[in-house]
Amino acid sequence: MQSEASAMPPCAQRRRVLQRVGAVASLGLAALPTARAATIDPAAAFAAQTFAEAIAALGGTPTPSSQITLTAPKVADNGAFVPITVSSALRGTREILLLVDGNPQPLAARFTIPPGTEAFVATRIRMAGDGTVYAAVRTDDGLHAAAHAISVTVGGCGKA
Amino acid sequence: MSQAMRIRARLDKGVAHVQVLMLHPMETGFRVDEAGSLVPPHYITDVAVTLAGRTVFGARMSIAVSRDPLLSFRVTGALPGQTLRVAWADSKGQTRSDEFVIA
Repeated sequence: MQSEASAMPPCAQRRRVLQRVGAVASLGLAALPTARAATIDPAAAFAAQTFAEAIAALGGTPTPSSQITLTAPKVADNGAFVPITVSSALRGTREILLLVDGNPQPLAARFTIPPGTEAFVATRIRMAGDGTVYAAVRTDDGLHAAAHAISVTVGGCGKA
Repeated sequence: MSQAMRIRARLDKGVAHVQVLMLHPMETGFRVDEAGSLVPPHYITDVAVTLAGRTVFGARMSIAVSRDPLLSFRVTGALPGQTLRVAWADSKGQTRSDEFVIA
């Protein structure tokens, strides 16, 4: 077991730990410290190595919303290319964030949506392994989010 | 020298459905090459899109965006003849911009 773990790329080792952290984070979204909710630090959010840290740096716990549509496969054969589509019916959507709770750096991308642009974006992301993708939407009322669990057959971490 | 982006925009009832393919390796820093050494990270960090000079879309990306990033988005109030300009900058300070005239 020990030798198998040390033979894995550093990314995969970290992922195992992060998956557990992520599982706790997704269960306990509401339990995150609210004292940090006021500050938004994009650089820290991108540098964050846990889902909880990334969420905190984005301004705190998102409200679950059925107004956000997150379209993605349930099973991704290739973790290097996972198609994700997000649209939001929330008024005043000005930012769409993609987070992956199983990744070494959970914040994948931030999209800015100026007035006149529809609250819609589609892209392809990498997933290190099984995980949950969160589409977080920022409006004047704060952060809202939808989640989608994806099983990844082959992780996209060390791939081209 | 980076490769030209592939930009498409289809106009439907005043809404431009835009698709941009940026040809870029998006190296994560985790990949090992044939010689067995780690390839350093090299990825697009910022994307800015204007339509007729007006900012219509922006992206900040991490290594978690796939190689050859593909972005789709929709801009309202677009008119034929307007120029869509897409610019990116990457983690090594390289930049590129390309244009597409909406038909």
